[in-house]
Amino acid sequence: MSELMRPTFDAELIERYGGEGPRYTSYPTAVQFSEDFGPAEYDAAIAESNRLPIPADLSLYVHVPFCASPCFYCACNRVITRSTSAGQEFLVSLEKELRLVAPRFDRDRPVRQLHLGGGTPTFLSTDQIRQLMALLRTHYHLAPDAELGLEIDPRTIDPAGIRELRKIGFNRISVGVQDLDPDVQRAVNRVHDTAMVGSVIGAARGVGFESISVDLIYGLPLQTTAGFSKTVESIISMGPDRISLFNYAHLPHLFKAQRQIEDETLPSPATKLAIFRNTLARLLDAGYEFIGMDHFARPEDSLVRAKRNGTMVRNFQGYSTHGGLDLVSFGPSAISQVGDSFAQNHRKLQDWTVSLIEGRLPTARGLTRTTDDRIRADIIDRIMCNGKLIYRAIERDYQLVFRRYFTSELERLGALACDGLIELGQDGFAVTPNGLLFLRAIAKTFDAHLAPAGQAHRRFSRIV
Amino acid sequence: MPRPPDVPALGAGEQSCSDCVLFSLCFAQDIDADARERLDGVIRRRQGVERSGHLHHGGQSLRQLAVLRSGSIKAYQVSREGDELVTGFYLPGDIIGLDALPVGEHGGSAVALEDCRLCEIPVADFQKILGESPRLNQVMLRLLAEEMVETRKLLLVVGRLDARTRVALFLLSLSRRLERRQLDPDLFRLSMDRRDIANYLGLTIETVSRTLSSLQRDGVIQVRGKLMRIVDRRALAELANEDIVTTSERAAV
Repeated sequence: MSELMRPTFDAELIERYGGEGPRYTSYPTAVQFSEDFGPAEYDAAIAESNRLPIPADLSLYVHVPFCASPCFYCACNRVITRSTSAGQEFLVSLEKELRLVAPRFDRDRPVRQLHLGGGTPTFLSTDQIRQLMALLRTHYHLAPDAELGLEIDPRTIDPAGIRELRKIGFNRISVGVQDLDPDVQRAVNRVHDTAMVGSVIGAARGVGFESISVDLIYGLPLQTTAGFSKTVESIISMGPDRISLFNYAHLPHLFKAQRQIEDETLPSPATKLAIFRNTLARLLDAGYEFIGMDHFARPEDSLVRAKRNGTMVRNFQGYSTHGGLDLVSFGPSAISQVGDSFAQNHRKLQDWTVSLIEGRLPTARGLTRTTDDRIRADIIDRIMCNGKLIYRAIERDYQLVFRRYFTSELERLGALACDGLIELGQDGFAVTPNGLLFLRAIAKTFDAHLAPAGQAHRRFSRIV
Repeated sequence: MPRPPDVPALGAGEQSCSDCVLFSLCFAQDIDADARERLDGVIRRRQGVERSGHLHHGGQSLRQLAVLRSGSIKAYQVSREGDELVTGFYLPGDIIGLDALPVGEHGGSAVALEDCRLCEIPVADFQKILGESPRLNQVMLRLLAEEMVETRKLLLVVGRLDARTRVALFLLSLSRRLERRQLDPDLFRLSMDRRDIANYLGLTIETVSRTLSSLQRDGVIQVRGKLMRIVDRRALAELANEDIVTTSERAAV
């Protein structure tokens, strides 16, 4: 089994290319969504998708917007509540949304993937999650081998709960660990001990979850190289199939919860860089493959296989093994992608709920890609997933002359080649080990919507 | 990928059929200069029909023949129960209305599947030229014969053959018609939606898509959105119980 390419750590390159950039879970990014796109446009996009010779299979996402307490680093859309009725009320609205949306899709389009995110999906009781799944199964046909996953907050579930989730049908989990250092946990208001995480992962392994993933965040307050190394060692010993190592983006002007974090407690850029360097080296050393961006996976994991076969894609949940699916999303702020259209629901729980009570699709904004958007999205996806681009493939698929269509982009690629991030040939280019950490910076070359540097407020997280 | 011709810009300054970019696709190429000159005098060029717009409905009297320049058109009839029955598809280069010539009224309806451009010839003028040009008669006969061959092949399909054969015959028929118009026979857009294909072939929509998927899995075709690529023409022809259309056969047409 050939290993995937390993990234090289180069502090100087990080200085130059580690600046902010979109994560390209979509192109154009959500920043471009407009209120000109509403329920009628979403409805039309669904109708259009049914008419294709082979309509795409489906991927479902449900955004459970509740958390019992705020984690201070969080940039997600959520509602902090301890109300026990919130979950039940949410299910009532969700059923309304399913009734509105699901019949618009032809029945012969099976669901290949399902993901519950949040918020905290496990804010819902196991019983409520069972109800939620029953609702989904009523309205959609879930393929027998569908990937059914959810995000787990280790504070909200015990091994018995994990076994229940497996019985309900889930076969992959993603555990939000972030850091195991008690000081850091207190500083971000998310306290759980290592044993809790270990028992959750152990239980998941025991009942046959196919993929177990762990999220870590570096750059959190009070983090030290020694402390984070300990976290990484503990996690490696638990043996998850995938590890995500996110870079904390401190954007208190955008995310209120982050104002609870005092700037002085944040690790210095040098410390942050050292944490990243150490973790990268350690994960590779422990046998994890580098997938791209912030994702690592064990060699036998389906994501590594997909990457090797060139079938990996990027979507709103990050990297994924399945391409060519239409994404249908439910819950406040959830983003659907059907054909070439993106549709985002109302962000606020109340707006979403009211819209459903009134029997309207809760679509608040979105956009339909132009041909140019589609070409660039394809190129960005190839860079983010395959780390290379063959011009002829684009020329053939879109009937264009690459050198003429992308004259200025090619010039900018020249600069990236000079810095050794890519190897630029006559027929295309390939990302080098030096460039592997800067996929976003390379992909950015083809982004036609980015405001010129320095004009926009900080909106995107740092690349490294 | 064949992009649909850039419709508005196309043939803007065109004075006669011989100036037309699509001249080689059109029956006008094959007729004698005299008849073409007379056609030039009466033809209404570049008439637009928007997607979902009707060219005519069943029962309406035939006013003009139309040559499809770009886009595609669905022909259908309505059953006594009010169900739509798809009877065929027009592609660029096809003439619409020939079948209504003898009776003088349209037997069915025609609706644009995408924005279309057409050249229209008033029926009285056409018939007059037809009476005077033996060459035009020959060309019309050939076109009708070609359509008869296609129709007969597809007639075989409905009620008799399995889904794979029906779908294979349909794709080959489209491909052959495009080839005859010197368009790419192996890469084309399916402008009709799967309901129309299903209706036309007498299959359910699920079966159409399932069959296309299985042909794709077997490496016979490749479908991306509306784009259809024929990867293995020989396999498709075998499925359709047909011999491969050879270049010599094409030259003989």
